[in-house]
Amino acid sequence: MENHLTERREEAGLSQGDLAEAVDVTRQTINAIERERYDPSLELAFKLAAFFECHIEELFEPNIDLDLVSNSDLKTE
Amino acid sequence: MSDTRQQVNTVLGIGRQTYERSVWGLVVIGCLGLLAGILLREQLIGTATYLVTVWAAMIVAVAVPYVSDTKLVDERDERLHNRASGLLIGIAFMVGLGIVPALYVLNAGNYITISPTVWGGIYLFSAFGLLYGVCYTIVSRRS
Repeated sequence: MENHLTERREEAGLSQGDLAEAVDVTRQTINAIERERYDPSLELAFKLAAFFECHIEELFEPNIDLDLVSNSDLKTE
Repeated sequence: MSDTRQQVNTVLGIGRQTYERSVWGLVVIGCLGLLAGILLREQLIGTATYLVTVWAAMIVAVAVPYVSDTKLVDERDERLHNRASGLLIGIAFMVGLGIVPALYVLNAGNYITISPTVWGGIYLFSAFGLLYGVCYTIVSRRS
């Protein structure tokens, strides 16, 4: 999953270790997320968003076509 | 941070790398001790060395994450472990189910003779599958 974690972290002047400690994971996990080799759990994604005081969508960009999972068809029925 | 945790971290200087090296280091020492015991015909000492160090490694592996303030194991480790376990189970079942019933039938038809060693492997595989089923049931009921 594409994300803007590196930019956010560097803007905040934090190391990967600092961020890892703040959200209670290992530095390796932050590194893996930044390199887009690991998709965080929903809980961790929320923690990261809360830490940077933004919405999850501002931090993570899912590689899926959201139109395909839209419920607009259901709404019109 | 509690005083105990502070003390443990200060005394042991626990970091993820130290933690992993300690656990695997103890396992390696245990295996080397066992090997040395076999080679030097001191099986009892070798076995004792192995048991002490491997049990110490298991205690360190389980206990240290609870007392360390540094995050040593997290959700990614758990996911990696789950994937590796799933892969192992998948391979074991594919190989086992693809071979064991055929061997059994061929043995019953006297086309081949299964040696006691292979029978041991078949029983071990069956026990492994059964154990997996029990573990899966427990985990699925608890989640």
